[in-house]
Amino acid sequence: MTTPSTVEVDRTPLPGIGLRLEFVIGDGRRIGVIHRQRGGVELFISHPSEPDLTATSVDLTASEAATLTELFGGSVFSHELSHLREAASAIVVDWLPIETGSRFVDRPLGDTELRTRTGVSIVAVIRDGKAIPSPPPRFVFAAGDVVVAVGTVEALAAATEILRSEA
Amino acid sequence: MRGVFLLELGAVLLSLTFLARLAGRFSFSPIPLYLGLGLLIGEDSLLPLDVSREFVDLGAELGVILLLFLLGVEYSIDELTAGTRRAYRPGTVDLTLNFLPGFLVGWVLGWSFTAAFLLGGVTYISSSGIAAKLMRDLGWLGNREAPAVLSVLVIEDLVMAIYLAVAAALVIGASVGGAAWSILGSAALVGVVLVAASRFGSRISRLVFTHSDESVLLGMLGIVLTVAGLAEQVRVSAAVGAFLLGLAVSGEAAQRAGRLLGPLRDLFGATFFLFFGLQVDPGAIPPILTPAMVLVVVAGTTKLVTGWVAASSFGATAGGRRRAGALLIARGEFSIIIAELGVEGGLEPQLAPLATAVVVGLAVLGPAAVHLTGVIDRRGVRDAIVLYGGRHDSHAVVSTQSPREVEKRGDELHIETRESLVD
Repeated sequence: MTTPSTVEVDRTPLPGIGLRLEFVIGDGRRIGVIHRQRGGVELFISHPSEPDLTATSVDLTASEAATLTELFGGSVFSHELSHLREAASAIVVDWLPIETGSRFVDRPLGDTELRTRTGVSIVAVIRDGKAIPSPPPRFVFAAGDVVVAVGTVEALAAATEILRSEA
Repeated sequence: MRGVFLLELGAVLLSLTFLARLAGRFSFSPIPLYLGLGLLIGEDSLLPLDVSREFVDLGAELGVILLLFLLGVEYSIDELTAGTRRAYRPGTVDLTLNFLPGFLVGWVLGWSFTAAFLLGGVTYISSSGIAAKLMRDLGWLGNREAPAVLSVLVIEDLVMAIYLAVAAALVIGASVGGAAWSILGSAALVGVVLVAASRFGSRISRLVFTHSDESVLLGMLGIVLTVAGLAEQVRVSAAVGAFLLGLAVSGEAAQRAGRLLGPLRDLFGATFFLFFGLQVDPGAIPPILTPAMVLVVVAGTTKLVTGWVAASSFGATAGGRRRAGALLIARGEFSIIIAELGVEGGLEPQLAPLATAVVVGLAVLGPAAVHLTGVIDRRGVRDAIVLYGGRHDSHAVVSTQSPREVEKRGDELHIETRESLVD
């Protein structure tokens, strides 16, 4: 995985609305997202000639936003999201084993579609006593791996079931 | 008799629905329309309707309490402290420039200090409801000036908590000491609410929060009314109590409160504006039209200046400053709540008609000004793309030309391109 580039992200609280995160892209436009307190995310990009003005904005539900993040391959802001979600429901960290009979042994992490199916985020995989942080979707599981995942209690239970399912 | 009452109530609610939809279609606030309907069906009006006074009375009271409670719920304490630090300067400019017009006009008209103080509040406070809705509808939350506008609105709402406490004390004829007591009382109430929230929060939550929406709704409403009633008992206004309680509520409770009590607020909020309109004698409007027009022009302009100052301190350019000013022009729910304090206290009879006229004027003018700045923006953006090249591929032919060459290619193509860029 390439190291994340160091784009400077501006954080602006929008009182009563939520939190706005944005940065300036190569052509001078601002691009960013607004995390709504009430849930949901707004994606926006500013005008090419008038950078103060929003050119287009798109409202996304939490799961649509999560899918989009997945399409980009890796989430820079997952800590932001989980921080915001914490307010709504209890977020737990859990350790989910990949057992020998699991159908995901020797298959890439992306195949589990855990985030899309359950909303659970994988933050690391522990192999041979060492933690591999933020494994990419192409990361291939081996029997005995332990997945460190974050999510609600229900979502984690669902994720455990999926990882346990046999080939 | 009962049937007639239900018929009338149904007719009124249907009219409110129609007005709300009408306002929604044009992205305008329904509040001036509700006030207007009240004027139209009031006792001394052309079309008097004998809607049961008790129902409307009670509904209006609940409306104010819910409006303020849910306003408090929108904000968390952290946001308030962070927002105020950054927008301290624009907030001061806002208070000075916009309180004075109302206060001075009241003074010139020879009103009592208290009545003039209330009119100052009416012109001071922008409608956060109207401004926030416009920003959402137009997709302007990503704009540079958005945090500036929202911070000014937060400060106004905070100032309101203190202002309402002072105003409530002045209206019942309290001295300076009485007003100070009222402020201390609200501060003490905040303390009690915060301590109770942190200490017994989980126990109260367990009692109130279950999976059943019904019990959550009843429990929430019960707590809000209890705190509002307690506040009223210790001579702090019920509205302030509800607002402070709203601030103390956060997290999951806040989300559910918004979802469950929101519809009730809309119903009783509309009832409140209708009720306020009902009290105003339409015949009292013409005599105050001149001061009302003066106030609409002056208080509209001072908000433009406020927005300009606030947006510049957040680094916005001319377009953003213009939009921020326009967004702040509209006055609404709070101005009417302040004026209602004066009506309840039997103060200056001209206060209610003047406040109605000013709010109706500015609540229409504000969104109109916002839409106008939108048109100016689009024109500016469009010209910039045509002349200096945009990134839209379909217009690449034009954008590779220098401005002079575009001119040379003749008006026909030029106009055609402009048209195609409008949408």
